Amino acid sequence: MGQGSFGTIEVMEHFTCFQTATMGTTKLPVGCEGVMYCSAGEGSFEETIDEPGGILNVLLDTNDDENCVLYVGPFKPSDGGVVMEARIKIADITNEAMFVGFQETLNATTPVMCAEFATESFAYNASCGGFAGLQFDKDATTADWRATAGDNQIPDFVCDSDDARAYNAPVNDKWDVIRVELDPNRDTRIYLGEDTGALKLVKSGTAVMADSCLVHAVVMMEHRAVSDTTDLLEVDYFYAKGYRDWTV
Amino acid sequence: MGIGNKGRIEVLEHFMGYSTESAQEALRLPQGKVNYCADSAASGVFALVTDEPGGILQITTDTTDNHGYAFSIGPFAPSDGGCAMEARFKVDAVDDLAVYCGFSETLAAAGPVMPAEFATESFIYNGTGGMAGLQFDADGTTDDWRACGGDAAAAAFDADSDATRANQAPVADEFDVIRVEINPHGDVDYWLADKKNGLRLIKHADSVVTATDVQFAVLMLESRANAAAVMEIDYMYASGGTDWTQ
Repeated sequence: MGQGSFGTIEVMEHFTCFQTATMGTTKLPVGCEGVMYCSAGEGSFEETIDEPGGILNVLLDTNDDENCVLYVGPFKPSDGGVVMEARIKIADITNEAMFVGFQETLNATTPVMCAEFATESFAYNASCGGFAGLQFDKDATTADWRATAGDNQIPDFVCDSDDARAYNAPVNDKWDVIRVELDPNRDTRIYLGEDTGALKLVKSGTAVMADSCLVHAVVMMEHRAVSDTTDLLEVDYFYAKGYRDWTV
Repeated sequence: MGIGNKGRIEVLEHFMGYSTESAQEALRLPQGKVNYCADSAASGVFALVTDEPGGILQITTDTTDNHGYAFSIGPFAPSDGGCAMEARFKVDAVDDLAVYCGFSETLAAAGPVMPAEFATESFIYNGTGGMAGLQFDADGTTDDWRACGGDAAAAAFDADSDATRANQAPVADEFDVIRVEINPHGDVDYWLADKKNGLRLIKHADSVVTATDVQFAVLMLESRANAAAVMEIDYMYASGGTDWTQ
């Protein structure tokens, strides 16, 4: 039993209430329920008013590798497990990379996407720690969502080429739902629901990261290629649930 | 039955998302779903805690004696079905600060006043209306959490010396949980949990506050001994009833 009465930490942000603004240069809140963000390049937030239910527009600048990460956390999986789910759509899949799931380390001013996919293989970036999620990258030869999970640049399972594909590529201006679950023993399940379908398990992994890690639930978009157009990501909802660490 | 469907007001702030940009204003301002106010001359800072899970707000006061912060939710009238508050927090040291956690009727936006302070062996009540809470003060001869309550600078029960001690002093860098419940008659239950144990009843007292007077749920921090005081808040909760009669 814990010390107090509130052991579950649950954030459900529908983006019905947020401030349209240019992004700041550090970790800051967006919305009213506990979602934070940080960014490299500082784009802007705008609102969608032609669809119901509250939708956050994330607009990136036009430079290569500029990004924005929406996050909730950190959580410690060993405190009872962690779950995240987000409903998102991408305006143009020829300009962007996405990672949705969990990532341990987030730099406040230059957040780094833990895994990127180019041609037929993943590249795992340093200073990201543990990770588990779905990634889409316009630099891939074949467009698709791909599952990946691991720790300190080492994947837990084979993710290259077709090994962890969802066979369900994102489509311009169509909603995808991504859900990632991390058990207390750091086993993970990675789900995807396309525009017209229910959530389907894409990949599971076992003990994908270190025991003691603290992870952030993340929705991260990164610009690819220099272009004249800004990138647009729309986020309908962002959910995360974890449990309190009564031992600290 | 009330006029509408939403007769219970509940706020639970985990501090998963908040701003570190502005920390000192002589106003009541939101920080998450909780309001805060500060001494008008205080200059403290908010910071993100990233080495512990679950969202934690860190506040540091300046070094001027008696400067501090009040985090508040409300106000609520106990007569509207009772009210309760609970907070989990820890302090960096126990020799240079004072903490009050519970309810306070009055809360000045510029320069909030701690309703009760403890020095040597006795309480000092600052005449700020009704109050009910647990207080820790570095100025006490013996470190401990102590229950106090009353109205208009008059104590409702003997709270001096050892009369309402929890016999469970705060420990630097260890979370305590404090819960205070006021029933619709103004009776109060005071609960405390330390790092090792769940909530335990420290004190029950009858007719501590006037039930129809509104009360803010508060968590207050003040510096003592001209040193910066640091508090980390894991969560703050409060509930009360809607007053359908207004």
